[in-house]
Amino acid sequence: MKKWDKYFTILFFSILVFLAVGIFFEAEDFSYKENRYLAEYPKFSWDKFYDSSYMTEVEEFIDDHLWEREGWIYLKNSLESISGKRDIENVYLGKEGYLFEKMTSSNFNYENFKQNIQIIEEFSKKYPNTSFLLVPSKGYILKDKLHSFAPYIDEEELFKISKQKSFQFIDVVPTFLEHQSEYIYYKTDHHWTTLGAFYAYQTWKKQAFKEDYTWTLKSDNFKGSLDSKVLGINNTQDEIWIANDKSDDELIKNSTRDLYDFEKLKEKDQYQLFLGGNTGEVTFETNQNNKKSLLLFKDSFANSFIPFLIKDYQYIYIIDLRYFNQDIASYIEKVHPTEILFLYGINNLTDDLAIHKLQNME
Amino acid sequence: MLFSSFIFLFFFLPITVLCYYLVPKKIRNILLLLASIFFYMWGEPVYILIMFFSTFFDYINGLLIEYFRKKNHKNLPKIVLIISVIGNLGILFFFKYSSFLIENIEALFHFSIEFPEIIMPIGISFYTFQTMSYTIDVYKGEVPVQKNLLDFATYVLLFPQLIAGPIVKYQDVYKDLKERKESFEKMSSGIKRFIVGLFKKVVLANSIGEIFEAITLIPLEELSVLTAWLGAIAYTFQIYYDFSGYSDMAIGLGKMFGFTFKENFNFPYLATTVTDFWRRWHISLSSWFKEYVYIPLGGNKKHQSINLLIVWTLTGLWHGASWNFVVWGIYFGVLLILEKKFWLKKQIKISPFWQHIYTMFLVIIGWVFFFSPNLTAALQYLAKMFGIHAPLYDSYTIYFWISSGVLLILCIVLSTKILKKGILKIKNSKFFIPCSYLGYLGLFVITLSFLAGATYNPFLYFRF
Repeated sequence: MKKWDKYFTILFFSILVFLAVGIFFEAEDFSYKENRYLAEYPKFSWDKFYDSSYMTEVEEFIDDHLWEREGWIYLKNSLESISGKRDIENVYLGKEGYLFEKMTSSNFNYENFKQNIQIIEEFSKKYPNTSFLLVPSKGYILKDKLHSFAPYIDEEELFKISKQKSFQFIDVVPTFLEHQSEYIYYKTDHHWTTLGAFYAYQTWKKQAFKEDYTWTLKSDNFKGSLDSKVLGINNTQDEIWIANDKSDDELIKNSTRDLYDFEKLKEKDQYQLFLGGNTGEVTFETNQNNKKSLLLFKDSFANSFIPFLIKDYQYIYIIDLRYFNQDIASYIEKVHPTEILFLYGINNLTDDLAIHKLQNME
Repeated sequence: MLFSSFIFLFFFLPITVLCYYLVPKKIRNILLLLASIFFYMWGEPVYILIMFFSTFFDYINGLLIEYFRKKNHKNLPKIVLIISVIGNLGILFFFKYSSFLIENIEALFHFSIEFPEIIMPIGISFYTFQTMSYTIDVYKGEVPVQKNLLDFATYVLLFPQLIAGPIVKYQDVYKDLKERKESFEKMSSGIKRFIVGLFKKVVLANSIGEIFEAITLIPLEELSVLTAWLGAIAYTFQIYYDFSGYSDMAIGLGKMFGFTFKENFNFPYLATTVTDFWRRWHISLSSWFKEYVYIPLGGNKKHQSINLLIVWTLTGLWHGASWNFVVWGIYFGVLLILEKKFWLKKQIKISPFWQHIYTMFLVIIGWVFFFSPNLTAALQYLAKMFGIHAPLYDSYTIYFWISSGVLLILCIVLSTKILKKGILKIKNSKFFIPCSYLGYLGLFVITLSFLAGATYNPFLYFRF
């Protein structure tokens, strides 16, 4: 008995010392999976000592540099998954490798959603050529892939409210439900796929067919935003396709950004391939001399939708209100669009506060 | 510093243990004192001064009581004792309860008072009670006075029980303080106890706590009866594993340095009556109140019911400066009185099974008062549990059961003696010892993975 006690004690403390030393051998300072920089060892100062922030930062440094950190987290997630847990970090583990953002009445901001819809309606009264395309969430359309009893918001009700408003509402839900067995949402990301964006475009413009485009596979190892949260237990990878108009050629005359930034495929968030990510203002001028122009207020969902719009307008003005700080009324007066479109994913719209910039416009 | 953190596990603990066993025996208390000061300062760099004051204050008080007693002063020892108690309670009251008092005065008299925000120093509820137990015991002659300030400070600041208890009375530990025998057996036993406590806190308590939190976020109108019960039961286990886990770690750490602390929990959810429950739950606190408040008031000899009510009101208040804690305390006070007057006297013959159900039913309802932010919330939650304006079950109920059923069953089973009895049966097999050590290491590895998971913070770019 005594020698086992000795061995056990030595083994236990050896493990602790090994892991202590391991902290300082972690070479990485950027976590690919978490898409953030790992904490640095803080500099000491008496101020930081008195308010404890020095100590907090030391602990953050230690926590971030755990030896084989991802392996440990993988172990935890596996154990939880085996025990039957069906959601991790607010992500539902669905069937066939599908991951869903957990949207329930506990975390869904109904008030802000209704307020944003209200603001868009007020806006559309001032500018009658406004349409609104609300992208439904994956969990609503692909309900059969979600766990049967997983609590989820009543999205049908939210769409009903939106349809009753005075703006022109582009309801993609029936189309999406029709195509729900197709690959219209990424499995590991909350965005729609290029195919999903196409079906939305088709719902709006009606005269569009898949055969009008050449579909090219640009990535087969995309692991999206939801995958990061459930590290390790989901081995699915997504495909990113792009659609090129067959009659394309040199449709774009000039633009402040390219439709695609293929360098982004080397990063974790490959979805940024579309439009190179989000920024305040992007403008396109095309060779279509139809004098039609579109002002598009959007979140990241529209990025893969825009390529389909190129042949319809001579000018496209793309505004992401989160990063746009010019006066909107004068901007609209300047560009004088023939059409205005709001394109938002429902999960982003709920938390979006930038739309409030459209309130109280002259 | 927390026990459940990497800095404690990988740095503080191994370094302290190594230094402890390297230095000569005479210096070991000083080493523990220095380590404990570092431990406390890591979390409270400034407020440690209050603890130093408290320590020095009662050290002097102890010396004075002894001095005056030796000089045969009749009343001075008592006066010093009163000063000590008032001083300690004063500090505790100021830091913990003054905001509460101000809020209530404001509410009662409808005017607002300018009062600076007071932050409560970590562990103040524990160490003021510990130093008070010293001066009271010196006065009663139960313990010899501690002439060595450093040794006394070691008692007060001892890091295993400094932050979250158990409340260690001076009478229970002064012998160990003077002389204790360390051994590999004790060390190994301490490590095992520590691992169990860490597992309880990090894996069980935190996981079932997630369920509880998810249920509290459900809007009240959407709560069904069974989901509400599930939430209360989740909290029941969260607080048990959290608190008893911390006590296990404290006891285990103490053992690593040769100290023997008393048990703080004894399978409380196996209790057959509410009276029995309080003999098994947070034993060090109820024991403190019994010895220093209940018995001096008259115990069960004079006006027992009033004594019980006073003690339980104080017990509730000790847990927090808020009315729901007071209600929780009085709730149990009343139940204990009823049991003593009627239940226990008649010795009604009910099977142990129904006794457990009866006890757990009352305990769970008690926890609803404990976790609710205020009385209204508690009553609203209870209303849901009893089916007022609530369906029996809904999709939340089924989902939580499927997603966390295994965890819940594990929590229930581990709160009983089933595992203990099972282990006793196989204890004599040859492979038991190496397997048991492997088992502890396995538990530790699992616990580390959950600790790592808690530090995981992906940058949420999907909001952009």
